[in-house]
Amino acid sequence: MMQGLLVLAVVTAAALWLGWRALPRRLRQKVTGKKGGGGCGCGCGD
Amino acid sequence: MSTASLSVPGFALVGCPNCGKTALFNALTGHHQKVANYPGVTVERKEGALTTPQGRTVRLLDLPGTYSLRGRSPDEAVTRDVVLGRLDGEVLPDALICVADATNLRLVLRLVLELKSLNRPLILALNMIDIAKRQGCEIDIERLSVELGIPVVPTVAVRKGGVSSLFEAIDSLAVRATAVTAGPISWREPTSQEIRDAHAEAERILKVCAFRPGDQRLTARLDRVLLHPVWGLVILLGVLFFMFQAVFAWATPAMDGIKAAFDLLATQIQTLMPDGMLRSLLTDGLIAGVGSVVVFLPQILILFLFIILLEDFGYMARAAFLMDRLMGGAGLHGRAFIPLLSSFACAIPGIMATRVIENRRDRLATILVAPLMTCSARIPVYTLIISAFVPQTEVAGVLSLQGLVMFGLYATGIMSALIVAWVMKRLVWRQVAEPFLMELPAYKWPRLKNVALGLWQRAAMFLQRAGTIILAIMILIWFLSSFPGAPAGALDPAINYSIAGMVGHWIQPILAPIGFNWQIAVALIPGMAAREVAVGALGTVYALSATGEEVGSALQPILAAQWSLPTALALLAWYIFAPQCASTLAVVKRETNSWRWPAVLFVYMTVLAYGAAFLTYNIATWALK
Repeated sequence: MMQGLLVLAVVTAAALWLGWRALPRRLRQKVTGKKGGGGCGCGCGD
Repeated sequence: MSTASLSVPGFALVGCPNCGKTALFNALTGHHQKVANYPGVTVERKEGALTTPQGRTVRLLDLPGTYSLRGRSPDEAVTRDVVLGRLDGEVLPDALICVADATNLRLVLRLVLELKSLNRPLILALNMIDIAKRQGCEIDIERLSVELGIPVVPTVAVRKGGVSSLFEAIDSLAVRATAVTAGPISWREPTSQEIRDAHAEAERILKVCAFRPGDQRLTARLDRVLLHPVWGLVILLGVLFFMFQAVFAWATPAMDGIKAAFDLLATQIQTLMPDGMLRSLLTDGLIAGVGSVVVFLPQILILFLFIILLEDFGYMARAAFLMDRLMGGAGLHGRAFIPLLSSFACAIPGIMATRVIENRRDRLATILVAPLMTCSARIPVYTLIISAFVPQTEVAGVLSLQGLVMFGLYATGIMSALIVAWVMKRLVWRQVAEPFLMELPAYKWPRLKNVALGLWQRAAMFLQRAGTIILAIMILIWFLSSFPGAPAGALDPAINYSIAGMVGHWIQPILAPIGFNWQIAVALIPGMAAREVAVGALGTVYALSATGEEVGSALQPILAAQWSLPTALALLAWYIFAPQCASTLAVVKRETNSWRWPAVLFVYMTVLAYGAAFLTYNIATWALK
């Protein structure tokens, strides 16, 4: 039972996080009020 | 637009490409922006802040390189517009720091004279002064300062040499700069007579301020061999060949170590935890999924070690020169080499680097073929399949067959890019190639710090992706592959009855002609987010397909046992062209400002991927009969 609940929480968190990341960057910035760090945005460091 | 009212003065770094602006920006601000020994690394403005010894805070802008303010290409136009205060949302810089390559003063003097005519506070930072001295080049700095009428500071940006003098110059200029109230900067394109006059003035200044010895330098001697029409190409091929051999030969011990660590972790979890959903998530989802991607880190780092060393040494610009004839034959502009080279890391910085290309059609052609270069996300897919299906034998006694196949895959990607570009430029757009001028940098010994920083950034990026996006996708794939569970009395593995299993079985008929099974179909869907996710997804899917066996991160033997050779070869062929990368499509949309080109990219790459996989599968099946 505990294992099941824990797994459900992890899966839900992963789904929510991925859903959030899938939103356009501008929309995310509007919601958080933060500006992105620039660069190409793929996280490659260039 | 004036910044006089703002309390923080803004300085902008301007200069010819590859003179060390970004290295100076990093030295002054403490940032770690990418630097390399070839022109065109910076294609957009970057901002930082610095505090001078007098405690004054100054805003510093790093701008793309340009030879003049005329701004022929989009990146040069950014520099011109910022310098003239014309760029929307960007305030006019209070002062300019013109960075010059001291080994090539002739090139920058015309730009300095052009900037001086703007009547803005200006400093000349004479960078790479150490190399100039080593080459026997003598520059009378005081005289140069008098002739130009501006402060001149010698610097060695990569070693932070001369930075304190530059800070002092910035300090003294900042006082003046904030007091200058700038009206709109009036500037017009110089006439050809004005350009000739500026050139003559630059020559005069050069004659009185600099002495250059004869052409007996190391760079000239090395170039005689490395740029030789025949030997140059032979050496280039040899360097690339050695690189891919090393990727396979040197990475094995580290990869075995990582694999052993993940296997140990899986065994520990299986021993300590009771059988249940959480244990399955940890072992089948996370360890089998994320572990099968992370194991490729050593190979990625070895590949980038070579690329960074060659960039720093100054060889990559020579490679561009050597490849120009081949690329020109395909209708690609010579300036496309650097974007295409960047695409070996990731197509996204490569596509952004196309801003150095002036002509729109040349730029579009480069954007559309950049994703065909083998990006680092394909390495896990290639190495997984090669390690599973290509024997570890040697060819001609010295060459590793696995390295040879890897070299072949990279070469096929490059050849496909050239063929697609040729079709676009010669048949669709029918355009004549324009001439290419590129400055060849002096050879330099790679700096350990730059190499270490570059490798660290690559490793951090790879692990960050593995720990965030790939991890989250693996959790979801595990969920979709585990639920709903198998009905009572079912004989097949439970994954066959899960959502992922059903989707995989539903798509599989479309992929059957190219030899893909339902597990590959399942892996290709999350692979849309990032190509290497497909490897993780295969890890999870096969871990859940196994009944009662310990899978850990040992995906290779399972694939070797369950896939036919034609299927493996077809998947390799698919991944040479695979359009699956949402970030690439998004950046193409951003750079072309239209949905049309990402759509064209997706459709043509999908058609090529399916076609290549179909041909490979059927030819291999026929040949193996």
